Amino acid sequence: MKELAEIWSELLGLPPGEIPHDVGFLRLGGDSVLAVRMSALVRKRLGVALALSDVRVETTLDDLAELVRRHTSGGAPATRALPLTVTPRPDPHAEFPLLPLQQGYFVGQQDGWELSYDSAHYYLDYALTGVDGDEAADALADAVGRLATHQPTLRARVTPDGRQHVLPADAPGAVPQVRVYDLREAGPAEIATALRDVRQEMSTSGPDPTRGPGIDVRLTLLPGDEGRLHLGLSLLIFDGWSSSVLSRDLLAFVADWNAALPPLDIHFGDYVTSLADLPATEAWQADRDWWWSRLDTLPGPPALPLAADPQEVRPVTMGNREHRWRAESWAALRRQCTDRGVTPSTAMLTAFGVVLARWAGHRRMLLNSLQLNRLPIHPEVQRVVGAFAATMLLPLDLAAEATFAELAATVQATSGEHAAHNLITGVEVGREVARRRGSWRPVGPVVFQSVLGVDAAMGGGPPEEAGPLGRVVASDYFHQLRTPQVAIEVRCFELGPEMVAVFSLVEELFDTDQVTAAFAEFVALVDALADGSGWDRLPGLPEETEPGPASGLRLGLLPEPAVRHREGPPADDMEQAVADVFEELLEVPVLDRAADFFGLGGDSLLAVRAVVRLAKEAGVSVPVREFLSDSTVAGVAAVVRSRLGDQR
Amino acid sequence: MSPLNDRADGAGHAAIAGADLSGTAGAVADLDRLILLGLSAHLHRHSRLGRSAAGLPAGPGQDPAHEADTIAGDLGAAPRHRWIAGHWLGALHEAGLVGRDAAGRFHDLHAPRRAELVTARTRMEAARLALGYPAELAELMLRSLRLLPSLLSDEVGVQALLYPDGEPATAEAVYRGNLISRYLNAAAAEVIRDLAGRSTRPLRILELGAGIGATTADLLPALAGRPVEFYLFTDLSPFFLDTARRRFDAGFLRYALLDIAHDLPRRPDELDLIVAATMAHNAPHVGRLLGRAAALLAPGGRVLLIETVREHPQSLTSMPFALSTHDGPPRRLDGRAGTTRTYLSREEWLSALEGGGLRVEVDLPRPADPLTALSQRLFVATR
Ligand SMILES: C[S@@+](CC[C@H](N)C(=O)[O-])C[C@H]1O[C@@H](n2cnc3c(N)ncnc32)[C@H](O)[C@@H]1O
Repeated sequence: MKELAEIWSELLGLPPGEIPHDVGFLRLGGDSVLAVRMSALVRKRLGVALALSDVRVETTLDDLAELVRRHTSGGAPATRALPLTVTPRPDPHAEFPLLPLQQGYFVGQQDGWELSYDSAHYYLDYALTGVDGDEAADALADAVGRLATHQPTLRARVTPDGRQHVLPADAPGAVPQVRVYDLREAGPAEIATALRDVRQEMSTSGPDPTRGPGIDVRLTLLPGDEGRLHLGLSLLIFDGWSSSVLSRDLLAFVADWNAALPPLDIHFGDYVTSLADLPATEAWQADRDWWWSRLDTLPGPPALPLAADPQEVRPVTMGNREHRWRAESWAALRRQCTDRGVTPSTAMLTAFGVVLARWAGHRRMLLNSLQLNRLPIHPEVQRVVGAFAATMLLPLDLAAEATFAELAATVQATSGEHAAHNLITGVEVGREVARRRGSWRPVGPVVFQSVLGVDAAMGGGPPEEAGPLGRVVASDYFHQLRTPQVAIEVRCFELGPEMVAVFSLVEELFDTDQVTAAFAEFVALVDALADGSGWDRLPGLPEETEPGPASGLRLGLLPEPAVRHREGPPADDMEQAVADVFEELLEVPVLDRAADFFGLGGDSLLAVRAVVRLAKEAGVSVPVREFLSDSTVAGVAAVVRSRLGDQR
Repeated sequence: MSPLNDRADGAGHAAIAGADLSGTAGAVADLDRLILLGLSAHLHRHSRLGRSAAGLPAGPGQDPAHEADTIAGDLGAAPRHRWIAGHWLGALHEAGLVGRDAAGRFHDLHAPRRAELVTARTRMEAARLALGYPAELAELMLRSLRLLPSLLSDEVGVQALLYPDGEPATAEAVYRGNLISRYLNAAAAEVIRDLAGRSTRPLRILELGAGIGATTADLLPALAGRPVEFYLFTDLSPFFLDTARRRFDAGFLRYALLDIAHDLPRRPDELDLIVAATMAHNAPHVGRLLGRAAALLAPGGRVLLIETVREHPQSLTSMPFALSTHDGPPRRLDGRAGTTRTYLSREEWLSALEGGGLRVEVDLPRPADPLTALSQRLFVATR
């Protein structure tokens, strides 16, 4: 109130104490132009953005105070204050580093690591009705163009050595092009084939930001004013939250040729750049100490029986098992969760843990949880698209004699405690674990992801009316995900009033019957939670805490190829050249030919850079896979030598 | 015309030397086109025009004709803004975008396609660059279209559109630095230089409706080092006086609130110059305003007007809202009475000046100048 009186005093030239609270702005000498300035000052000084129509000349100081109060109540959730500020970078096209999970995806695209694909991406298409077939294509292309201005990350590219930048809007190919399939005159058979083909293509070859835009937008026009919107999103550029933001922004631009979204001052690159100061903060150091102190006692992943060694399989897509809970069951589940004091996400996580424990035969295990992880260091962070997401390693220790409700309460506490230390992400923790264990297998190949509650956080579900694109039929969709370094993951999300859970997995790794059984168990368990019967039961967990001695292939218990080289200085020029590349990238002296790239402090991104360097220096391209299979100085030199031999 | 006319024209063109003027008329048309199409799209979406009696989209020649006032009702116009619907429809009719029957009712409104709107937006961008306008102009035009519902209903005042955040920066960017303003202001500054050179005593200057001071800012340098008794900066709102006080520091500046719709003050009189830049059309009776202004001038004193001689569609989504009075359209007692015309034609401005007992010395740009396409002119007349 005091600040408001001061603003009025400045504008009206009256002493603050003499401004009556119940007299309108106009009667005190204000006018409509001054009223505009007043609301600008309220925004600047109090951080409250009033609508243009909120502030009128009749407004009294009391009215204004009430307006401001209404805008500030509701209150943002308490968050850790971090001493970081995000400001627009002087050069918006300058390169900036990849965040840890982006690095993981980038490296995952290099065909070097276990369970990698040429593109890590998400594919989605959904149905449209009431499409204006003559206008839809133009409206969509227009919308994508404007979106690429509003959200410059649509113009992001990743460089071959794993950095990123945003192309200027007028650079050739910067703005994603829309592809349209006009099947308005086609028959059912032709349509079915065409849809199958486009899905096959977009599921198996996603947008690759090292070559083009990280987003692929297509539209199929169908008879009867129907259609489908197809979206391919590179996980290197967009996280799950972004795909919701993008859909909303895109549909708003489609619906109205002149729609304007609240402007964004900062973008993903600005955010990432400001994170460079994070490691200097006390909060970051505290989080690192917290994680490092428990690394050596982290469990392994659930020891699921495998049909093949992940190193041997070359998956093209992931298989899905999917179930939808109708609006009533989902509402019932939410009510049950509220009564039990756990979030729906926790309930799903616990259910997943229970199913995994029964499948793997032991109760202590490490899961990898995908977190939105947008640090609240700028008010616009939630509205910007980018690859903000991070993983979090989450150990579960399910007690043998606990009811589901008790398990869920413990899981909620554990997960909350770990999430409170989110300044160090799972990728970084995983790298350190790998270094200490001397294993380069994925540390967290079993993933949990839940975006339950995101719609509410965004202020309601996505818009259904999209102008010339007609109405979105959210429940009629098809989707496909490819995440590298994942053996199996569960994803939970809302679809309008319904809830969906999907197991996505590398089919080649598992026995199909076991997957089917596990998923059925999961669905039955969630059903029992929704009807209330599942909470007070003992879920029938195995006796063993840790996995027993391995019989056959099991996740987390796979053989490690042992490589041994005689220690000593580099034996020849080739080994010396490799040692030089290692030294340059790792910034440590490399004196021993048996020294291992990762043991010396290298990580997967640096490994990609080493391969790029070797290609330049030695004139041969060493496949990442071979670099990794023996990443000692002597081993890499041997690969280079044999490649050179092949060339001759 | 006078030698002063030549000198002022020369100074004006020197200020925009190097600019390519060949595309001026086309660029003006492109700015206008965006607003006309934007208005058509708005009317399609928010009124019964272009629909059958049952409310469904109608083909050409199938939709009933409607009174402008019915359309104003559909648009949710506040009583004082209701006249604007008719004003718009008149302009759309002139552009061939809506039909008008013998009874003055409107029908067959053009339905712009998305591709048409997108092209218009792209060309508007190129046009504003060609005319030397900053990005703010494009934003202002698009924002005005977006705000139409709340401008019409009077939930949002036009000031919020013209002065975002209550700061003059946008208006300043839009109203200065573009081709025609640079030309006109430089020509006007030349007139002031001439006046200062010939005066035998310190100058007494009054500016009416000086607003954000976009013209003032270009005139003051011409007075640097000259004897000036006062330069009285006036406008309707203390907002402008405040802004100008913070902006200008010449010691001879004085400030006062002044509404020309009422009366001009009798003093100060014996003025050497009265400046009115894009504001004299606000007078209910332009001839009377100029007559009163002339009476305040010392012999040999001058009136300097920068004025518009034709309303371009480009400003249809902003200016009319600034013109509405408390309860309706602006009061017009001169040749505009009974119409919704905002401006006088060039001939009307000239005769209004002459009718006030003034001799016109400057009338620019010259008839063949491509700048005439912008319809803004400089008039200088001497007592
Ligand atoms: C288009 S602006 C021109 C401002 C300024 N002369 C310039 O060239 O930048 C019109 C100005 O006339 C003022 N105005 C409108 N009606 C007026 C009136 N009746 N009396 C005095 N000023 C008026 C407005 O407040 C506004 O500042």
